[in-house]
Amino acid sequence: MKRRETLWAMLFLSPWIIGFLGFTLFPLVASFWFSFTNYNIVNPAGAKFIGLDNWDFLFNKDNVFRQALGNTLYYALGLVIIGTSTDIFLAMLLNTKIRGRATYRLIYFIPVLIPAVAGALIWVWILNPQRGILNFGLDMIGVNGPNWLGSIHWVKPALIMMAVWGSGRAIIIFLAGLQEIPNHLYEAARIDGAGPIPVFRHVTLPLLTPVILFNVIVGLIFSFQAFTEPYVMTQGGPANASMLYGLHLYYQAFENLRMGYASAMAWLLFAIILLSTLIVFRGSRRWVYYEN
Amino acid sequence: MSFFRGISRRKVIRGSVMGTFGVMGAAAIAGCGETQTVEVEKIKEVPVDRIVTVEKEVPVEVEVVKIVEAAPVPKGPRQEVELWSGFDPATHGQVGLVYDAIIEIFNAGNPDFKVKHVVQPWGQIIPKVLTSVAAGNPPDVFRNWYATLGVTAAAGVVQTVEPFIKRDTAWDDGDFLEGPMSQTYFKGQRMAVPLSGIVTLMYVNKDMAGEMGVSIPDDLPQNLEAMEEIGSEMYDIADDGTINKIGFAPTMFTSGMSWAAVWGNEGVYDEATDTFNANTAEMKQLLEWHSGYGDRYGAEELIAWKGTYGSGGFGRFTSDGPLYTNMVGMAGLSSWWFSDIDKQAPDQNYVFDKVVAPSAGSGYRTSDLNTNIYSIPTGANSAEGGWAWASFLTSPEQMRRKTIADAVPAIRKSLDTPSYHEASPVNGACMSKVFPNTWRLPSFGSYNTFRTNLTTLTESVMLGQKTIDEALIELTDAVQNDIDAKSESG
Repeated sequence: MKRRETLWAMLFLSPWIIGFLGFTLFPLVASFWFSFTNYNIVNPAGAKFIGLDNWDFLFNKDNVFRQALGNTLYYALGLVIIGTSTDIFLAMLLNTKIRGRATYRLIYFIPVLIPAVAGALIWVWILNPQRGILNFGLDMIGVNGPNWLGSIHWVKPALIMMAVWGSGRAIIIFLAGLQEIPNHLYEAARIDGAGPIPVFRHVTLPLLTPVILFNVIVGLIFSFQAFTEPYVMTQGGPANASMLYGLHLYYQAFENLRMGYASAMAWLLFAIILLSTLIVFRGSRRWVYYEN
Repeated sequence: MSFFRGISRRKVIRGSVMGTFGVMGAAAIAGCGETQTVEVEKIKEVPVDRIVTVEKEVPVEVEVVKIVEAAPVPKGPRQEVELWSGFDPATHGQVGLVYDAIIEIFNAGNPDFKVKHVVQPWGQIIPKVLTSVAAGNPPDVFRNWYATLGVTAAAGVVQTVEPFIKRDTAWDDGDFLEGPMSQTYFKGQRMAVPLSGIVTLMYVNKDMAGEMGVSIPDDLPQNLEAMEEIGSEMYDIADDGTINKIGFAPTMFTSGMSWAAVWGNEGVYDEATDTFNANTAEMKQLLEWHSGYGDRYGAEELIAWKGTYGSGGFGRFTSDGPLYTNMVGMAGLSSWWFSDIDKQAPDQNYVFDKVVAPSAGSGYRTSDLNTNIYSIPTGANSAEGGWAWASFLTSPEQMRRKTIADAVPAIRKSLDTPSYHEASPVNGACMSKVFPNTWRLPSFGSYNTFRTNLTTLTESVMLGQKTIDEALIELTDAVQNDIDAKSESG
């Protein structure tokens, strides 16, 4: 009877298992193998084992790699810091009891529903130095807007700005976290005479830290893999100032046809993301507060 | 629930699961099976008259095709030939319509093959061909470029056309100009069919010159410094350094390789030894010029202007483009730009000439040459059909038809006719002044790496991020490393 039940369980699980084996595990193992070969995607059978040559090239010969990694770290840190702060602020605003709150929440979530490429093309126009709406608005308040996507100094902040615009998902998660905070704590704080800022500092923020931890980790993972926006908007320019790691990897794989090298880059990226996630987790013991 | 009386919930669930797996299995078996549709078309003995007239700018007349008189006997079932190009009438207007008309002519007159045109965005053709070859379902022929031939040939994405040329009794090498033909070779083998050659010309906007109070002489100067001096008077730069109108823009609308050609950088790649060396006097002069250019007009502002308006084709298909709205005084333009200017700004008063030599340069070439070609992917289902299309398109009749609409310099000597010159004023200049002295860099697998690194490192030098020597060393290393890596995997 137990064996029959086990068999039925395996049968129900088999579609997922087959999919996992075929579309996740096998490509994972294959790409690890390819990182030690000169595989060029067109001729898999012709891939030759070349040892650590790809890794040697990555660390010692590819100058764009270093710039791409630096750009990606800048982008990731900027997005996590600015994005998290903005998302918490907006979530708190959307948590206040005002008329039309549901409409405001919908407005902030709409960017999440826009396809990434369409959103990137919209932002190309928003950020146009002469005809874009952003510089038009800045001009109205007497500020001379920069050439956002054409400037080596402003292109990464422009990409971060666009990513923050699309962070409605994180706002919703923060909103849920805020609503989980027990009201009696706010009442107790008010009874003790705490103002809004002390309440935020001593009640809201500590109890929101688990959600912050989640969003920081998810934000880091996704920002390290950013590709669509620089690919559509800047192609890595100007002067490689917006060449992110994911874009450089794509060019190596599909324009230079060096899939083996790109596989090595992908595994290094995995290691970087894993390491940064572990660092955040370890550090979270000091600043994440769990109610229990 | 009376329908299910007597049947337990467990049995219902079990039955549903079994049924689902059964349907999935049947679907998998059906999907794995290959189906072949054999189309046999009967050739009717009916003459076909067709005249296609497009938007009235330049009416295109298609010759009457009489199938009856030239009804070849089909050799077997008619094969579908999948053709990939970016010639979509929605974005290319008349050129796209002419292209579709030529496809119809081919299909009407060829009983063995029928072309199915699949429009792909230009920038996506190469990556899509690459992945389709890897997946085993490539098109049968696609529009390729000299610049990407080396990469695709080195990776085995395209197949040699030598066997087709040997079998094709109508093929005559003498029909082709030597320059474009030379750009179809990769390591001694012909890998493509040449269609037309793109070169760079110097464009001078007399309307904008008039606006800026600059006088353009009837005979343009014959050295680059004098040209730049005139162009320097056409800049409109705001107080904060923003370039509103650009006076002299030799590389804004090109890849930068044409400028490398003008400064005589032919010797960077040695095909015999497969070695690349950018540490040359000519390359140094090129970067010195760029560094000075950045100092004169603002490196960041120039790079920003190019990023916004230049290489991305900003407003190319509307009348708002910078070339149509007097934002550019002098520019090196690829030859196809001129037909766009004539379409979008027909009243614009401009002149053009070959790009002239710098006084300090050596090994001067008027331009690089980037030949448009057709390639047959490895593993194509109907390689013969791909060849039939490519060779049909480069026949004198079709070249004349397409060139009149496209105004791209042709490759057939037979096209040097009065009507060819009347079709676009640049055609004659390209043939007589530019073609004879273009840069003929051999196709090699790392051409793209050379091109992209040259652009990036030039910008780095202009911005003061790298010295010229550092940039040249980095360029040499980047390209040679790529050559070595590709030769190991080749």
